[in-house]
Amino acid sequence: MTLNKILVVEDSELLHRMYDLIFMRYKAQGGTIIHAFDGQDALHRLADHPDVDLIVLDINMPVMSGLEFLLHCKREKVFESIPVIIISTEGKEEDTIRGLQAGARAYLTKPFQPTDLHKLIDRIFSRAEEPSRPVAKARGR
Amino acid sequence: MTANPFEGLLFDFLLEAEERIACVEAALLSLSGASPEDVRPILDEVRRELHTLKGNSGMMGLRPIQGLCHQIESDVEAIDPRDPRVETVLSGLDALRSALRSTSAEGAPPNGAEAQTTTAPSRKRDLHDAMRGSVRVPFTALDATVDLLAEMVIFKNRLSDAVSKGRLGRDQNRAWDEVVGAQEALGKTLGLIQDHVMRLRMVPLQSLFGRLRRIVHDEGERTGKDVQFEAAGGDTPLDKALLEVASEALGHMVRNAVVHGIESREIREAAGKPRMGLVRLSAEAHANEVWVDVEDDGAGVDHGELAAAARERGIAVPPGEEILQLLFLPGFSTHEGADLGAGRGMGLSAAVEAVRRLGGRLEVTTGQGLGSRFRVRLPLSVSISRALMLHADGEEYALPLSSIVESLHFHPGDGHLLNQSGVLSWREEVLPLLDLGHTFGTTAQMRSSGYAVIIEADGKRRGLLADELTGIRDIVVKQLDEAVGTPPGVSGSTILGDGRVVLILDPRGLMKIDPNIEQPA
Repeated sequence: MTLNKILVVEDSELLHRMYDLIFMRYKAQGGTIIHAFDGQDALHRLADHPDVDLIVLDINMPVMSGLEFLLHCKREKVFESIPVIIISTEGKEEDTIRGLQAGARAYLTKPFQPTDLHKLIDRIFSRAEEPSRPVAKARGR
Repeated sequence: MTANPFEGLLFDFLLEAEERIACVEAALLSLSGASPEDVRPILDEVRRELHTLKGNSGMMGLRPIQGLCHQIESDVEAIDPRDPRVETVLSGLDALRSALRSTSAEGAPPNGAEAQTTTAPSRKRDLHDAMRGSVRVPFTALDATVDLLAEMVIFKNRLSDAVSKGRLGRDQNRAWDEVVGAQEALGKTLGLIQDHVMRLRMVPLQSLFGRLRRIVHDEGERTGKDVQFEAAGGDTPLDKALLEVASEALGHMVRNAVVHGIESREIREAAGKPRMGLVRLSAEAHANEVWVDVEDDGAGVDHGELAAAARERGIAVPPGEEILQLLFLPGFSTHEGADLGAGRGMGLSAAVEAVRRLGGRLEVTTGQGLGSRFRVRLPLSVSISRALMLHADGEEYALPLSSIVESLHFHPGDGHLLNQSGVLSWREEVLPLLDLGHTFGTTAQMRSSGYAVIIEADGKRRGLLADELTGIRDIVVKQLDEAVGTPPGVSGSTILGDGRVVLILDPRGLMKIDPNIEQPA
């Protein structure tokens, strides 16, 4: 599975560092990770890189939340088809449901293991041709 | 049990966690002065920060911290926006802070395990120290320093070229001019680097505000006074070493302002003052000094009361404004049982002493019924050097790193007596031993075990004996008071963040001390 560009939208610098580690396998194949620190920042990045393959989106962010960003995204024809994985934290289940309703492809709940995210990505892209349907949450600890 | 994939990020986690906690704390403390419509967005921010922290702790595999965050989140949910009481959440944050501190001492757990750690002890120690002594540096500042270093390399190459040309003896005069030119350029760049590096040590004063705001809040709560805290000039830079001492002194000053400055609600109302008292902190950088003011709109200092208190203690009453200096005497207070400094760090008088030792000053201006202003004036730059901290008989000494050749364990039988002085066989040499406790009069005999630190000065070597080596620190060098004088082997003193005064050893002076241990008592 090769991905050329992954957009990570997350307000915590620590998590960005974690994603750098998690996505090492894509970077080794020449992939790029684009970092955005809130929804608004992510919209700007997306305008510069409309060819993003995947968006990993935190919900809980200042300035513009992940949910708002998702709604903006799905309104634009160019971005509509980019698969989005929502990252949420225990105790915010209602956000996850709203995210899936807004068109996110899958979700993952913190804390998760790097392999959980890898499996999810593999599943999204192995059924890329099928009509978008939420992929069940992959949590294995 | 899988290894924790993010163990290497523990330091980043702890730094970010501390910032988020400080942010939550500041937001909570701002609730008391906030208008009703501002309360909700503030609480939203608090919730968001805590939620992120909870998620991050989970990702790090730190279950207990994750649980604590969850508990605090619930406490925040219980806050009534119409009457925001934040005490429970604040004590939750304190618990979280201490949990993080023990995490930084223990290291990250492997995923799935609760208590065991895979971190080697030395790394844990490093992490703990790194947390305590870290400074955030903007990338651009670091980059500028790296650029200067690159320049240094160019000038150094130019110097080498010029020197080798001179050696070949072709055009001696021209080569010499080039040597001089390169040497000047090198010196200039080195000066710039020094300047840049010293600036990297600077920390904005802002980093103290959170702690001071919390002190004002806690003391206000304890004494039943409504006090608002305002702070300005947070971007004023101060050397990290000065900041530690300033933090202690300013803590006392704001505490003092709430406890002694601000009047009770009843008195304020009777005097026609607003119910809410004000403590204001402001900082400003001047040519060679930083001024930090702590102002309050309280009762001011009553000169008459002060004079009476002085007479009661048999202290001569200084004339005019000088009487205010009495406030800084150890244990001096006009309020009965108001010795609040006790048991909390070093006490106001010690804090003032620390400021003075750094070359700073303290000024007081007061207007009866109007309030007071305490001004701390600190020098902008200080002389800083790196030193190894040694313990002998419970006394601490700082030894400049530049003089140290080696340090080694000293076991019974390692030292020998030769003509009434202790000696140590070290490599091919026999070095005279100087016991620190014996030299400075805390013990009569040479110790038989501990550490031996081999020092070198003026081409000579000696071994210093101490009980323990406690690490390397940046120390602020101050001359000893003239009245005390400088004993042989000592170059000055330094004051640590917690107020302890430590002697700085002078390696050259130590070489001149008679190592004879059979001196008559």
